[in-house]
Amino acid sequence: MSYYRLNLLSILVVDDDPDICALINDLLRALGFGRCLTAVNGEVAMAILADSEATPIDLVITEIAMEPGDGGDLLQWIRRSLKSPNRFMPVVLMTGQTEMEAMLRMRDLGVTEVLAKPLSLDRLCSVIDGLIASPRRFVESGRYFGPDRRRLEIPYRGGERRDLAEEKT
Amino acid sequence: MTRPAVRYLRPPESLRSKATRDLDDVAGLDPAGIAAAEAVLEARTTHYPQAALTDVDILDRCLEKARAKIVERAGALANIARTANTMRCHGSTYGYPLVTKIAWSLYEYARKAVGSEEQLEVIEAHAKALRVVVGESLTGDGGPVGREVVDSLRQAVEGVPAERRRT
Repeated sequence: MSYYRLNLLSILVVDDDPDICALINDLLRALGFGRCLTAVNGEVAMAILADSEATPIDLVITEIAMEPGDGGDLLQWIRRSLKSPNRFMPVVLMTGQTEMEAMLRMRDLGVTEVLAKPLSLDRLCSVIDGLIASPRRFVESGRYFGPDRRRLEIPYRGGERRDLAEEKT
Repeated sequence: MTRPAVRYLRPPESLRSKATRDLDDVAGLDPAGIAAAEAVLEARTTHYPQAALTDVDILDRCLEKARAKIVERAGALANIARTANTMRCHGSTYGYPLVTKIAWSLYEYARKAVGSEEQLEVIEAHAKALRVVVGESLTGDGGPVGREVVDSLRQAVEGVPAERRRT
């Protein structure tokens, strides 16, 4: 039996809280990630990513509330900008504020996963495991580019819809 | 009206293809790595109380500033909210969910407060509670003492509601 070769993966952690940045960096290195970079805001992260073609970054974990360039700006840049090195890059957003409105905005910008603060090692491991084990297909439509927002395949258990429609008329 | 075309795409190289390259029968994350990460977290946890007390010192200084000069009150309250937010995001990670709970209450309160003397007293009560929780190492929910602290703060907040700043 073997385990994920995390040493082949590069990751960028973005947070304006130096303690959180250092903590996640140390945890990821302990888990076996080969290369961990950090940035203090979205603008610095974009500069690092734009310059990462030679040594690609595979995954971004970013706080939402930062300036200049918040997590939403960074996510939008990764998904939409011509300068983005990989529009399919998994992006995990960290936040202490899981208000519905903010979450819906992030979903519509193409977030891959959300990590609520305060962080827990269990949840961090679970998110990383999920990203690797179950990659999501992407959807491109007029207004959206990002991971398929429908995660559940719920089988329809009712009668034939055509029959139901006929009954109503 | 025509609906925009929708395309489903597979990422050219997924994390899975890279992390499982040349491997068969992959079981997930390496338990040795998880154990190493747990050790990292434990080591950092021992340093947490000192860092948290430094944050409480910042709260105290901001309170002093808010009381001393009306013109600095808004800035001091913003700093209190920011520091409370930091404490909220750290507490549970390092085994102090009570810090997260109290700091959450303080964050919500300070960002809405206008800084009346009564409100500053409520903020001071939060800062004192945080110092007790960290100083007495009240990890977990803090037991009966922890519940009493949270209850008394809730009553204080209800007694002196924070007002929204006029914009």
